[in-house]
Amino acid sequence: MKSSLLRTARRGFTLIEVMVATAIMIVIVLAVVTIAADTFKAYDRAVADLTTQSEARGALDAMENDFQTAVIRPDGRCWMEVILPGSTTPAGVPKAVGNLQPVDHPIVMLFSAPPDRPRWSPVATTPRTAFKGDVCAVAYRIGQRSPFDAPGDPIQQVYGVYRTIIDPEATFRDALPILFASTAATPKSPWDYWNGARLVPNYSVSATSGGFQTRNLIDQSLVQTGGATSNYCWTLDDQNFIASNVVSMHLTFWCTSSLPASSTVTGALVDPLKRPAEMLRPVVVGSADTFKFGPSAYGGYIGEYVTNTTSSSTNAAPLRFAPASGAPVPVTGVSTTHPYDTYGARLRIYSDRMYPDSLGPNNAATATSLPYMPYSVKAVEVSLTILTPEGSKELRALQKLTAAQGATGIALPAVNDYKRIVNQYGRNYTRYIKLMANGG
Amino acid sequence: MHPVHSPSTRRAGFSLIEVTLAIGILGMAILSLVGILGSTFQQVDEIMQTNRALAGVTRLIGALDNPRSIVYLDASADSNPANTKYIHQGLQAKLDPVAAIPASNFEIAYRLLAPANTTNSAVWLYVYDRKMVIAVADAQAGATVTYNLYSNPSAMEVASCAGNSDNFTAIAANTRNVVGTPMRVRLTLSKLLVGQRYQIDTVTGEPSVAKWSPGTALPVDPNLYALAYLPVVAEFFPHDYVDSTVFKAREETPILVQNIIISR
Repeated sequence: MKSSLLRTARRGFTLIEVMVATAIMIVIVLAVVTIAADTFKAYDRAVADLTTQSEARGALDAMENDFQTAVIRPDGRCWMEVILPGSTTPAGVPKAVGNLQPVDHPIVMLFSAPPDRPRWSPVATTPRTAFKGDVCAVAYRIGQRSPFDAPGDPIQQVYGVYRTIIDPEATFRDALPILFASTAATPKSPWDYWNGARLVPNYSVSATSGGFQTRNLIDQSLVQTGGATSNYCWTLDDQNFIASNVVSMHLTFWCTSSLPASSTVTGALVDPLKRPAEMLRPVVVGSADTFKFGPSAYGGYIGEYVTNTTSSSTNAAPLRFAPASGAPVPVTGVSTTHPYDTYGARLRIYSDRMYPDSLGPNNAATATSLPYMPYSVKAVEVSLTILTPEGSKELRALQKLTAAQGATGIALPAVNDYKRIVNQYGRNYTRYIKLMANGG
Repeated sequence: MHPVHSPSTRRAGFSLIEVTLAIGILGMAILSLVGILGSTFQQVDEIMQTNRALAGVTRLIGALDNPRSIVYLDASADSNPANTKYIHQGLQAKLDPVAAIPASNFEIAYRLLAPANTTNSAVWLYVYDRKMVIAVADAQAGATVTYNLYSNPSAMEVASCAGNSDNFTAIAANTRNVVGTPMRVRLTLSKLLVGQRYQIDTVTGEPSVAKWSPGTALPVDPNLYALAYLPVVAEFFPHDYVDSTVFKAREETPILVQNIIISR
């Protein structure tokens, strides 16, 4: 009886069996874990790529459309303008946003015919009243706020591109007359329109108010301090938000020059870069913390930031488009920048010329300088830096932390943390856009 | 009373072979799932590359309209990022031969592309994103890495490596601060030319009766080319830094094919 029981009883695993099984299991689990880890890494990368790309596409598609249809009439008036935040002139330019440098988030103002412009009056009538016309004042800028709430909790505050389209009737009624009143003595530019309180159609306000609101187009105040109808910044309104996590927006204007590369006529103006007239040359808007292009020995461009220029350095050489001597300032080395294609905190763009002003360290208006560049813009190259979701999360967590530590206003992480996050998580997207209206 | 277990009611344990088999099947299942994921990620990569190529097309069209903005990288560009020229300087004798009378943009583009009448004589260009701002550590050998920049904008560049056997090397990409995968572009004359009277009769000054067919060589002198435009086909490939002798002999499917019309 006992022996039969022993025979039928379940035999346990031997130590060797268990050890072999465990070893096999460990090998398989390790392999699976390694593959899974790689997969998650690849997944993270794919998500980062797709997310940043979709944000970039939103902003770049809009910019492509607006620059391609940009109105630049050859009538001696300024039809496009770029101003860096924090500029001291003209008056009313808002401060730099958050951790961003002025050079990273220019305010771009132009006129174009966006297909997604406001088509209907917000006033509730039957039938609806259509806005006439197609030329709209358009502005781009980067703001930092929650897309849902102004400015919102620090954990929600993201950097984003805001694109504002003024309806064509308001553009015709308010903006164009300002531009057309421009004279040599008192030149006017798009900024003169955008720096003011204007009537805008706000489709989100109640029908009883008629759907129109007077709002400051470009200013500092994000928050309604004077109640629901108070006048606060319209360009950073949540309705104008088009892309999130954008931490820089760089514009390079590619231009032709009307000056010859050389001339045998004494005193004739020549191109200081000695390039053929039809060769494109880049113009970027810089500031004291300047973003520069420098040509290398044969014209290949390198770029760099220069934070401290002194009057004795080549970097700080006077910005003279047409120097009296006719000779360009020598380019001595790889990291030496060339002063000529670098301009100040504001650029006014005409059909056939450009007016840079508030030139910062390079500014040295002399009697021998042309007050403008005889450049005609043919294309604009836009480069956006966009944080991946992970980077954005880290930045916002730091914002929350800074706020928790008692920061007032918008909480800014330490500059070095911010720079590290941009370097680590920033993805670049670039698009080259031809300006059809100006022969691009 | 001892409990009596009958053999029929006792549950038998798993044998080692059973357990190993089960784990093996499980492992296979997980691996195949991971394999599917891998192909998904490959597709994501392809989408990214196609999008990059699409962005490159606009830049390439701009560059062919203004060929003086095409960078010319010869072998020395590997060692010295500053040692770059534009294509009309690098290939001056071919593209812009008379210094006193600079060639028009169309003439330069024409002289560059007219010989590309067959795949073997295709013109190869590279389109890539390039960091405009270089960190201190990038710019100066031996410098410690400091995040001295607030942002890192890039610009797209179109380059010819004709001076280096059409090779865009990894070293050159490094010295040019290239971001991501460069695109290799094969340019050939477009079939849109088929049936066109392409040549000017030097006696009458009118287009001659000869019509273009694939493989026909276009006149060397742009002034003897009868049409107001030059149609070319651009085929984009992701550049994997192999030698030009290898990639030129390869049968590859381009990630993007685009007809480009260059106007006079």
